[in-house]
Amino acid sequence: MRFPPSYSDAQWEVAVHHMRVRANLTAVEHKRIVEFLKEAN
Amino acid sequence: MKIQILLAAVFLLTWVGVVYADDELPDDRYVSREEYEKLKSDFESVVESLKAELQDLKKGLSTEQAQKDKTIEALRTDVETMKQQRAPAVADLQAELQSVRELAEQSVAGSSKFLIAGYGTAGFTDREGKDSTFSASVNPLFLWKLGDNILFESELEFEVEKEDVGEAETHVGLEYANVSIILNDYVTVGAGKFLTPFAIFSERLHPTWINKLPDFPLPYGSHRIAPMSSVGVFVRGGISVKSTKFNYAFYASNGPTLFTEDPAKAGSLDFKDFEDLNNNKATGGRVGFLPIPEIEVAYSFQFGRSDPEEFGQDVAILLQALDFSYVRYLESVGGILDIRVEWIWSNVEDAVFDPNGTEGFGPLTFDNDRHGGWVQVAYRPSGDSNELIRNLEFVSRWDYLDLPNDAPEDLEERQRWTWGINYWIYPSTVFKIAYQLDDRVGEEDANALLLQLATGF
Repeated sequence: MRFPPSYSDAQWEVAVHHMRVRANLTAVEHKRIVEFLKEAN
Repeated sequence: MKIQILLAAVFLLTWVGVVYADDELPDDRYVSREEYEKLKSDFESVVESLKAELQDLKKGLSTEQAQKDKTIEALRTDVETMKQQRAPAVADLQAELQSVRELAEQSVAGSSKFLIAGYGTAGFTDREGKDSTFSASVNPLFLWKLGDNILFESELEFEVEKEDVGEAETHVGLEYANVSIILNDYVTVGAGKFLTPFAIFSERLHPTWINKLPDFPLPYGSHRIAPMSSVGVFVRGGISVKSTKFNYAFYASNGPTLFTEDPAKAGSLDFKDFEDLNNNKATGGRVGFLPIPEIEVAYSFQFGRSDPEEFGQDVAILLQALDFSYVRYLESVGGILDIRVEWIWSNVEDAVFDPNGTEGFGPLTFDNDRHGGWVQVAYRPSGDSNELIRNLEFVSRWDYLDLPNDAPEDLEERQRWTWGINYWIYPSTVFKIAYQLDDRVGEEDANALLLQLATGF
């Protein structure tokens, strides 16, 4: 688990892209997770 | 002001008119010269009085205005003084802002984005029949997002090792390094060395700060029957269907090869066949289904052939696995329940090992089928009001491995029960303590105390 502020918005974009490939996320899931993390940042 | 004077005059005249109208007037209704002069004199004295009053008002107003002007001037002076006093601080702030702006501009490396993450581990193991030992390792993870759809990912492992007296060294390993490209919403392709999408442990659970116990389940231990990583190409993605979801991952890789000469390993698979020893490639994949977001069930397979050099036999290898995951916060238990189940079957075609007897254990043939799995339940009371209790996690795992009885290796069957308590010092830092009952058939039992401190960064 990580706190949203532990990464910047740009870093979260990279991390969630990695997450998308590893966890077989759909494009919609990818987008929503990035949005959530940026809003929580 | 003129209007006011006029109104006053009219009022006065009206008043005089009324007064005199009430008096007895001469019958002829004419005003005498004397009366006229008196009226005029009265009127002029009233006008003079009004003028004096007006003069006083004007004087008062000009005095008040002068005071206001004085106050404004004083304020202006104060502001100027403050500006002069703050000027150095403002200049410093502007300089600092400029340096921050320059730093931010320097940090922008074109359109690519880079992230270093990873995890570090310190451990202690005290196992029966072996010397207790501390251990340490670090696994940096490098991620480059080269564009909207391209990602390069790589993980290294640095671990202290000691082969023998005077032979301490640091082990360096390339866990994975691959490039992936998102083709569309549902398809991603990639190539390189990647964590094998076979069951769930290797891809999703093996990092020490994610793995809930200090060691790996038996199918991924020293008598491994499942791959951790592969070198090849892959295609993968996910598709939502109403409220459910499917995911898939298929790959072609160098595949495992067969140990043939070492009697302690003959018949088992070498999954570190990263530079292929033959033209036979393994193909495999995993298909998962999530009826609800908290539950996933999946089937994995890998098929390949192996014909080790000088072995003279070509054997088929089929690996299959089923896995199940359930992770959910339950109000009824006030915490997160995490249940994982994996079962793996390894079927290797029969072969004759050490056919000439030169290795000292053949000729030997046996039914080369293996299977094993693990069931793990973890509970974290994350809804508790007490922070100390909220950060605790209780874990229990049963794992099992069944090996061919007629194989030359000593171990035939192994079963373990492991109970652990974790304390989450930070959301990505955990201290684990666990005790393990290790029941072996063909070897001495080896219960163990395991401690580990793991942090994700």
